[in-house]
Amino acid sequence: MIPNKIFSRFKWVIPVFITVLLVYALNNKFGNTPPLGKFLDPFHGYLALTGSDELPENELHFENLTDEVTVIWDDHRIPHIFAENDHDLFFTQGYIMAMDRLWQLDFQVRATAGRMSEIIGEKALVYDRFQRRIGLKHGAEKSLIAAENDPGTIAVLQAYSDGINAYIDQLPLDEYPMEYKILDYAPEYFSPFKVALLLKNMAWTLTGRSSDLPLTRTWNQFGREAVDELFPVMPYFLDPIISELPNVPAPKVQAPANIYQATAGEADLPFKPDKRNGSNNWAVSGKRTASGNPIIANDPHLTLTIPAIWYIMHLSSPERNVMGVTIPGAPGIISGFNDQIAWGVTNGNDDVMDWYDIQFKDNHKNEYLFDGEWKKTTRKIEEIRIRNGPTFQDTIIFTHHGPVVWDKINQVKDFSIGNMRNPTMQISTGRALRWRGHDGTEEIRSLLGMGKAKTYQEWVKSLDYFSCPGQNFVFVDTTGNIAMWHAGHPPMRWPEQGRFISDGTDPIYDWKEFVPLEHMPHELNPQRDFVSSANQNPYDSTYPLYLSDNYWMSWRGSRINELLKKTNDATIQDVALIQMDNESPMAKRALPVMIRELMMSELNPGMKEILDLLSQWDFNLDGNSWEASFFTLWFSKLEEYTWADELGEKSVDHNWPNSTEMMEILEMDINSHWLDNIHTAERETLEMLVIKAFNSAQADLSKKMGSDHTGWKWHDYRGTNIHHLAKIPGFGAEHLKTSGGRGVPNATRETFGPSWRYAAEMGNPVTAIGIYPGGQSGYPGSRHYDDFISKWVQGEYLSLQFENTADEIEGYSVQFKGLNR
Amino acid sequence: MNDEKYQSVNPFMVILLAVIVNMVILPFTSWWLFVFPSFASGWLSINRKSATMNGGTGAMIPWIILNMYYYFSGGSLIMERVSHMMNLHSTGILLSVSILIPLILGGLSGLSGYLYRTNMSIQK
Repeated sequence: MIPNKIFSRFKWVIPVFITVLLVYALNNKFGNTPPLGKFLDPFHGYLALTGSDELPENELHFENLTDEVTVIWDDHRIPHIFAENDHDLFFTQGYIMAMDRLWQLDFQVRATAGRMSEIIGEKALVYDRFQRRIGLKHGAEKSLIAAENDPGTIAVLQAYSDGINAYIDQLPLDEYPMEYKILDYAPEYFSPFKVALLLKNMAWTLTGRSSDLPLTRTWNQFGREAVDELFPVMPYFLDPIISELPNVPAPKVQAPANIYQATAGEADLPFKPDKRNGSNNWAVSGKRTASGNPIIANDPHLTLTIPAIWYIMHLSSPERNVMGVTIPGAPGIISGFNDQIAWGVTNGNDDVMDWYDIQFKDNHKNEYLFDGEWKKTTRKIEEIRIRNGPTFQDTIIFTHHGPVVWDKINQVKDFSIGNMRNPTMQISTGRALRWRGHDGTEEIRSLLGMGKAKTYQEWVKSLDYFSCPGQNFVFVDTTGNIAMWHAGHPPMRWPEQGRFISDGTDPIYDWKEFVPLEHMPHELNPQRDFVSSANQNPYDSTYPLYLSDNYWMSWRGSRINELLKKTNDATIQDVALIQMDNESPMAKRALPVMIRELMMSELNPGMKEILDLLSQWDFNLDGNSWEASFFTLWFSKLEEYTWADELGEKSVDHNWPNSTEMMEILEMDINSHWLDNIHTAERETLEMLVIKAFNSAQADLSKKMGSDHTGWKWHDYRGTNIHHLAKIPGFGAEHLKTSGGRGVPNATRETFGPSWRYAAEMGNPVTAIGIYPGGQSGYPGSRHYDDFISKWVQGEYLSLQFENTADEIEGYSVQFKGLNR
Repeated sequence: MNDEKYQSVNPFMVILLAVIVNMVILPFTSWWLFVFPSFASGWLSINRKSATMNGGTGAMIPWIILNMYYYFSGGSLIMERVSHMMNLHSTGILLSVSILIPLILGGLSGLSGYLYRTNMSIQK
């Protein structure tokens, strides 16, 4: 027992101890809670960032600059950079990118590299392991070597990185962007390797998907005929991208007599890409425009976040004068135009990912069978640092195919499988992964070349460096050319190679060469005077090469083509307006059949009222339309009742067929055996399923949104939420009342949609409009953080200032100078 | 207890002094260093209650001043976002939560200062 006298003397220790304890607690991050003392401290915390989005003083000096650079920010905070040489141009681009989006570019690179555990602790370990085990770093290292072999590319990457680092060097601790304060860490220097890594992440986002496993499973359970019936290589409804295919020689790739049939056990997790998502691009020739100049439009659809994936920039030097959107962390312009040409992208969806069954010699996995011989595996050890925890060492086994992504069953069971874009769903346990992104591809060289191309020929030459992710590139120029290229260098395959899990012991399943660009589907100035793509099949059955069985449905593409065929005397606004079109070709074809089937039964007055109104619907997925909500739910219920009894719950055991195959049943095969529920004694008919789906949709909507059908507004039923990139509450834009949806040009969905809408008319001068859902500043307290969003929701565009000289740009000007100037 | 010489110390002046010291040093130091001026405020106080109050108030006022300054000079939007992030949904509540930090820590430091002075002097 402490004597009373001593206790009295040291009573002061108690509040001191509590104070110290509280200071410690408030100075450190616990779970998702930021270090509250540090964060709320008005001297150095989040409030110290107030005004940090203000543009710099009139003059800035840098050691790295060789000449003077003029930067003009217009009213939308779009920077227009005018430099005397490319080095200074890309240095300044890096600096400005960091100024507005430092946290984003740093975070994206760390996430790609599998370094989230350093920031948020052990709960990110599964994610980090996955990122490292799929071989992104492996591919980025090869791409960096390729960049280093081209002096022009590596010089740009270095100048860009130097620009970012110059910004970091002069950034006071108090002005670290908000997210660093919340997550309690610091920015890191950038490098050319990080640019390569970021582009591999983009490639993974766009191509990191495979149906090898679920299709193998469907084959095993229902037979090959069922696979071909439910997942045909050429779908029931097809409106291909290329209207006039080039003359391509037949492939000289040897096919096996019988395709290898793997087992696909219960422990493996399948992945089903969502074919309702995608991108659009098109161009119309001068014969269809009012001015006689060709017009281009592009709207890539991606997961929407704030800060947005895109950033608008204008880059000018004696080498180039180019404007469009860039990705924070990558130099140049990804989708945009210069004073001679313009281009835009949609995802190509070629199959560039295969999984191989590996036959190891024993459990040590030091050797595996290939072509009748035992080959040695290699091992790479990855060290994952964990915040407030011990470093984790992960050993990855590599075969010549690629890494064995997971080597134990159920390694990712604790990771959510609810998110369709969750990359861990794409794993195939115990198998080796071959992905085109593992190669030293040169996309940045390609994009830098496009930015300064003056002619179609120069542009195609640059396009040849673009390998993965394969993209549909639309092109226009000021001489009147329009073109579409299904570009990239996917593996040269024998028919259906890689459609199922491949045999890793047999060399016939290996990738041996890649399709040369000139053999890829493309067209220049086709007779129909327009080109378009919407992620659908680039070709029909007359094209001799097999590139994929995994293209998106043609609904969007067919609607775009329908509108383009009617386009005459068009202005840039007319051409861009197609991006906001909401008419669903799928609804237009499916609804009459569904109504016909429903009318065969006796209907109660409530059903009859809904049906009468639905009959008058214009098939538009308009935000105010209740019919859009009802039809969408009704059709998805019909799909569920058709497929779930045989194929199980969606995305669990098997993929479900596309809506085109459902449409084939509606239009061509109403007695299909798939309509029968195998769990009931009676034989269900289309009529029975249509009624059941109708009642279920009505009940669901009534329960969720009330019994009055006029209250089932599409923008309330579906709407759009744009979350913060790190999903920080309060930093996103939620409950946006958007129109559009699946299968229509305006493919806006819950958290996904047109991430950049733009159009350019190739006159003299080039005129352009564009918008993305977000804002130029990454600082959540800036008025430019989300100022484009309301315009984007309304379908409005920004007029993009594009001139040849700095004097012609209106805005706030700052001089970037070398130290001795 | 020999408190006579502290009876004449004006509590208002103690707080004012702490506020000035805090305003001068805190822009250049860690956020929690206001505990030292608060400790000194407590040392100069006549009883536990005033020590706690003086310590807390002297630490809190600079936080209020800066919060208000930033609110009226372009920081209201970020305050609103942060209030949502913290599930408070009001900049007023966010401000209240913010100033609780210096209030509590300053108060505890003030109390510590007072107890240290008085407890150590018992032994003399």
